[in-house]
Amino acid sequence: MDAERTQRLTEVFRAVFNQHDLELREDLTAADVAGWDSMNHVNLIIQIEQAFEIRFSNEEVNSFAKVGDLIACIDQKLA
Amino acid sequence: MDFLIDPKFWAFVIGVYLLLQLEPPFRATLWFGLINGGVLLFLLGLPTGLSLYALAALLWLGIRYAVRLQLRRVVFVIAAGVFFAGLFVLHKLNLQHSPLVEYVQRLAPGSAVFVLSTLLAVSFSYVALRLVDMVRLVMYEGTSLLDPISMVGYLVPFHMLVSGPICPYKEHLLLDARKKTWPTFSHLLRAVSVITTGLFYKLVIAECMRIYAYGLEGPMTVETWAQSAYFLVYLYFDFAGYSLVALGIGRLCGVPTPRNFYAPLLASTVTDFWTRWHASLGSFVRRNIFTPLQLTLMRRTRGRGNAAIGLFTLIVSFLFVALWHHLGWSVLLWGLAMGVLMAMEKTARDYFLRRRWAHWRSVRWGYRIVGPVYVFAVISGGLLLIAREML
Repeated sequence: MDAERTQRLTEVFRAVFNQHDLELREDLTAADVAGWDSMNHVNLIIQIEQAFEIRFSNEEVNSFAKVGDLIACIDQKLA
Repeated sequence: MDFLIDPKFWAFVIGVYLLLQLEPPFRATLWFGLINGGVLLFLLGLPTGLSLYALAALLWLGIRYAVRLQLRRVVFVIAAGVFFAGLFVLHKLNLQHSPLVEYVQRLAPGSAVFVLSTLLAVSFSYVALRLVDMVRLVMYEGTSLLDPISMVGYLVPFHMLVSGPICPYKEHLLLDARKKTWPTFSHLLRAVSVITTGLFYKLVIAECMRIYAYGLEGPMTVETWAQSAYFLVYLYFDFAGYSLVALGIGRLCGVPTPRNFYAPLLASTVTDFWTRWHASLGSFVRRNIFTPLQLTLMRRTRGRGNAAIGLFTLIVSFLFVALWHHLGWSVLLWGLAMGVLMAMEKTARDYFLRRRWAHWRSVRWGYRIVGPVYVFAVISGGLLLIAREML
């Protein structure tokens, strides 16, 4: 993922989880971010869909185990 | 429990384990489906086993037809929904013992009786939930459909007959992608350790608790909060015991079988409790109800009103869990209360996070110590509400 996309994704994460110093890593999981529960997960997905103008399937939404999976999926959709 | 103390069942387990070590000339899901089919015919009896396969073949045809005619998806989903809702109500109202069904049985003794009883069993059980998971993936996500024999291997695996976990369809398909390796001694030992732990939970702890409180054949009754708390602990060892046995057999044979319990009695919130207790049902609800419903509603509102949508989806999800367990007013009320309580916990948690109180040491310790006591009180209190109707 290029720097511009990474920055955009980081901003989405910071806004959804209300953590202005949050830094994204590929191995970051829901357990590492306070407030990343199943309800906020869907909220995060919606914000990402709007920011990148893409759409995830239900199965993709359920399959993201870490930020790296999310990045790979976004890259694939924007390729 | 009958299965667990039946030497025939354990002989089958060893047989299945040995047969699965062979390398068949076809897919692993089909190989397991064939072996599983043989075991089911023995365990359930020939008529019930055969009617199960007849039903599976019909279902397979129906799903294939619906996939081909993509425009008729809505019709298919409505028909399937009405079919399942009908069976569900039939089962929950205990209509399999009604005069109507007895009349049908007198009219058509033989195979029709077995089809009817199989239908009623499927409507209630974990089999129905696995079927929903499979149909959703095949219809909406383009996942491949297994043949009828492999399909029964996924829907009714012999080791999850009693009260099995709900394995996601996608995980079962991974069986075909796995590279065949010979099991090591430590792998066998770990699987046997899980099975024996499950047997100890079920046959020693849960049975001792049951006999001590209710006698050898006495009915289980819950009248007070203390009895409810006792029953909750009993229920944990009983259900977790069964689930561990299934998990151990699954690991032994290399058949995907999810873990169902993650020390739920140590949970600090009710929300946490429901991710640890019967985790595969929670995961099913998240995959098939909670996430799709919340996604659809939030896309429609373009992300606005997420708190209200979250509350709504939580309540709908728990109402489903409640109804799946039993059809009754107190159970419905219990499901509603659990959904509202979880929404309140979510609001409180978000508030603590916003204020940055969640990082305080006193809050963290309070959460760890008071949390499990609060959860135990709430869950056993809820059990008291529904026990009279369910037991």
